Amino acid sequence: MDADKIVIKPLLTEKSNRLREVHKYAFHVDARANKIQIKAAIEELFDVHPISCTVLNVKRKPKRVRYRKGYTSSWKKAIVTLPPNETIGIFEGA
Amino acid sequence: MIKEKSIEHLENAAVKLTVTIGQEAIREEYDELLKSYAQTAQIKGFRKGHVPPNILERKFGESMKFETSQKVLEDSLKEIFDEIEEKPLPYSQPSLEGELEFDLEKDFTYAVKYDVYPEVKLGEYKALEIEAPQVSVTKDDEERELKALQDQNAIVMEKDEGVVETGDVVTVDYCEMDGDGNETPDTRREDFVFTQGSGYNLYKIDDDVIGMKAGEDKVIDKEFPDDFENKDLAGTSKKLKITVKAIKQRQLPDLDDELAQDISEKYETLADLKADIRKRLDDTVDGRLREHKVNALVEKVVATSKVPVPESMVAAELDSAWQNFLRQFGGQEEQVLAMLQAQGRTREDVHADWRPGAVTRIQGRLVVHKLVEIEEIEVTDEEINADLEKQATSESVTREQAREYYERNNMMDYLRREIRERKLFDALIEGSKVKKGKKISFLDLLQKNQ
Repeated sequence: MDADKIVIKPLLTEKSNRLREVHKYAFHVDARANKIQIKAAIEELFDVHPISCTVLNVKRKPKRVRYRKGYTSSWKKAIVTLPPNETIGIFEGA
Repeated sequence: MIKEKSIEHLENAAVKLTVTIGQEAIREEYDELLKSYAQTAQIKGFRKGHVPPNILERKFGESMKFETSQKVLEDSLKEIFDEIEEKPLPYSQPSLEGELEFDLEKDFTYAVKYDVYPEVKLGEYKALEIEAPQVSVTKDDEERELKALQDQNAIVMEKDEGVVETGDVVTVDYCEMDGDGNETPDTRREDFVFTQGSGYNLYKIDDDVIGMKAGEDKVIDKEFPDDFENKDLAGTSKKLKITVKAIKQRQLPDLDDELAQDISEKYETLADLKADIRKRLDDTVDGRLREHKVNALVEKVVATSKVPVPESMVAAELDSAWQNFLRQFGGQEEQVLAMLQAQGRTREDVHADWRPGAVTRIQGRLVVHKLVEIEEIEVTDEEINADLEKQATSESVTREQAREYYERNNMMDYLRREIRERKLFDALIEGSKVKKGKKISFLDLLQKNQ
């Protein structure tokens, strides 16, 4: 799998913003990718050297539009820990 | 917040203003804007008011910088314009010169260009020599006016008997006939009314109807010369059938006291009417001559003065002329433009045509304004009252009503200005040498000033 297919988008939220203090960066990734692939992809895309990667599946949530019931899509979130001296530009607001 | 400013005078009363604003002031302004955005911005993933500034900056940085630059620019301009003497003209929008270079870490410099009230350098304006035509109202002019009044009061009477005579109003049917003496229906006109001798008819049958009775018909052969005004008929000959249906006679009223009384209750006798006509003509001549003198004077002063005309003034003048033009045609702008296009002209061409006139008018006004200032002409309340009184009499209302009218329409200033200018012109004419020009007749004078 290609690196840009694995990493779908960075997660920019209040929570992920706070995580930066401990050098962690969150991404929305392809649900089929594993930690090793994600680490490699981040390394390739952002030119950094991830120390570790944790992943979790965000469960689908029930959703209703009028009387039609359905679910939001489930997706995979990955949190990558970088060494303290490395950052990822798109999170820093540069 | 303004660190530096310099004003540079350009041609035609234009001014270039260069302003430098300190970097700290800009930073401050920017941070303030950022803070206000941070409080209200809603971005997905963040609660309202919890968006960190760096995220905001990343998303809206460029537009915020632009906004800051605009705000700084506007605020500083306002501050400067409040301070400086030479304010921009109301219709002169300051326009930016060159590109804006905005950097949060640097001082911000910009330049604007605008027009200020032009400095008028008056030339000679005292004891000028002008030429005014000599006009005298003659007996003929009087007669003409009287005749016009008589005409207006003419009665049109049906003439049952008798024949068409010069000046009668006739009602006719007419049509062309072909060689066999049959009528050509397409050319048939019924109940056509015209005044004999006026020539207001297609075939010019004025002379042919003379002597005809009401109800009579007549077939005539009419030959049209090659230079006949109607192109279709020129050089042809037609057989025409004319039927006179009715004859009306214009009866001119006799020139007597009764006519005078009919025209207005003001007059008792014909002599009154005549005297009034005379007075009116004299007044017209005086007014026209005065106008002529004033124009000549102003023109002279302008010629010797240095009057820079700001571009924005010309633009405003042209625009108002254009609006007038539109109103005259009573049409929408698109229609008028389409019409001009049919003549192969555009709005710009028209404006270019008007331009010299507009410049002259503006110069005249500027000079008059300056003269009023220099001569320190003041208007007293009595003068205003006297003027109101005069207007009130001519409109047959009371002075208070006239005053109320002016006050309600915010026209007191206007009146004041008018009186002031009148006084100025009086003084100017008084102080100038009026050379007698060539003699012209009353009619020529009327035409000349139109």
